[in-house]
Amino acid sequence: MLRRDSNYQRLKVGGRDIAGRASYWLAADHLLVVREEGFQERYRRFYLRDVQALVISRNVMGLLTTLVLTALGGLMAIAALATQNPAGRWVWAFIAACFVIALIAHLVGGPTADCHLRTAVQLERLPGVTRLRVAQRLIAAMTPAIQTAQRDIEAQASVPPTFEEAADFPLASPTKAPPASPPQPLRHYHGRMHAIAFSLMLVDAAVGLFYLVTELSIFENINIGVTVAELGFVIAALVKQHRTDMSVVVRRIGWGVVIFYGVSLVFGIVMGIYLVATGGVDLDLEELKPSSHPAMFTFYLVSSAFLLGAGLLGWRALVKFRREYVPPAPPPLPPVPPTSPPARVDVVEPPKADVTPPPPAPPVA
Amino acid sequence: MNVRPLACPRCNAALPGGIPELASLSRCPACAREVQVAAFPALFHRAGPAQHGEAVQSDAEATCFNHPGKRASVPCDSCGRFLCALCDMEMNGSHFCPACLESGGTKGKIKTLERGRTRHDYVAVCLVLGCVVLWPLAVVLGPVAIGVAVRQWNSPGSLVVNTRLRLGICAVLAAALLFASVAFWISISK
Repeated sequence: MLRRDSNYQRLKVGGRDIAGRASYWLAADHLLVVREEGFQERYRRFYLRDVQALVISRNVMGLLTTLVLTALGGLMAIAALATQNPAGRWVWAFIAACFVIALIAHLVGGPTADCHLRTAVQLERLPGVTRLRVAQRLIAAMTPAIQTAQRDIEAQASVPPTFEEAADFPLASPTKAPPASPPQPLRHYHGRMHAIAFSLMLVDAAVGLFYLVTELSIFENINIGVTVAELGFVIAALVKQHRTDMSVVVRRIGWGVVIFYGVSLVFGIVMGIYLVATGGVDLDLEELKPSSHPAMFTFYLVSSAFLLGAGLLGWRALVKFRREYVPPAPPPLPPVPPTSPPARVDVVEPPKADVTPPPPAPPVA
Repeated sequence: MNVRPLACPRCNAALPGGIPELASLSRCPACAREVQVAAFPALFHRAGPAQHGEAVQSDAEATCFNHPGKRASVPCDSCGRFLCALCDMEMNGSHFCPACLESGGTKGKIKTLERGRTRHDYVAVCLVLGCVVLWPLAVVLGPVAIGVAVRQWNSPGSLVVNTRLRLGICAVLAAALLFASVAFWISISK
């Protein structure tokens, strides 16, 4: 058993994810990853001499989990407030408290990340390492052992090169993924879709403010149409910005608008349920106007303000990005060979052949 | 010296800069995801030429079992056959021929080649939980749980936890639930 084996030291980095549980055991020459999947226990050994790098990359699972737990907790809290039955209220409140506790535990855990182990022939995602803090702890625990195992290699490599010096080598492909292509250079994208999307955001904000003030149905219909178009262009912009040199601010604004619309959708549904359940408005959609409830007024106001701010910020960042863009210098032309005088060619006239005139034809009798 | 450039695990774009810049969290230029890299000397190691085995120079030399034209360098630690440099598979300081290495991996003779085990204690625990939830059916599930515990007592358990302890506890619980269930059905039949 590994716990009683003095050759193995348990690393306190293991954890649980969707597929199962993992634990990490460090020996003198290898790392043993024990993965429990259902009724099976799988073992992976990574020899420390082969480990080229440990790569940590942050992911968005933490943000998504926070949003989902917040939305569900808020939904349950609203249901608890809306329910008239005291027993039902306690049940909803208990469920909401469970979500809040889960949210607090998730936030205490810190940001989420993936950790990959790279060798000469594989890029393996380490299971169970889902937090940035845990991944950094794993690197701190493994680094001395790996450096000890690679002492002789270190002696051979006297000068570590930079990665730019060797762009001609393909990348090690992930084991479970299709064969990876060599690292792709970033292409330039001028941001036309972003410009259209940011313009539509400003139009949407203006129409929304008009609707907030006048509550005319014409503005509501225009608002819906502009919103649909705006979402389409935002999604197109997110697709177009993939693997480009687009600035991080512009990218984030696009993603922020998508997340905002998702949260707004959930909030609108919850708000509508709450207003209908508490008798604030009738089920008639005509009643769901900004003036029907202070919360609806605030919702429309915040939406317009967000779109106004996102549009202005996006345009500013896009203009800055376009100004700072320096087109790459064209590749240098091959050196022109030195001009030399044309080689003198002595034209030798062929000797004139002796052309004897044909004999005259005999006279025809 | 040529090395493979490090790439973002998500988008496969080459990460710019050298080792010092990537040692702390920095953004991938393509997907803007924060990436941190701990690089080790093996990243800059150039693999040497592959060994193909030396040809036999005279009849007095020992030859490889698989390649009669190659000079033997080591014997297999499992079967004792002579191996050339091409057939020699080194594993934790031991030398194996390809056949012994394959059989060792499949039959579990070489511990470091073992890739997985079945957790029979989990099977027994699930059966006991089934006995608890559907306790009138413990007449059926109880003997199955006891059978699993007895039959798998000597099979290799988990590398991490004490599997036999769990199997023993499951067998005792399954027996108790079996007796309770039998008593229940006898009382009903009377």
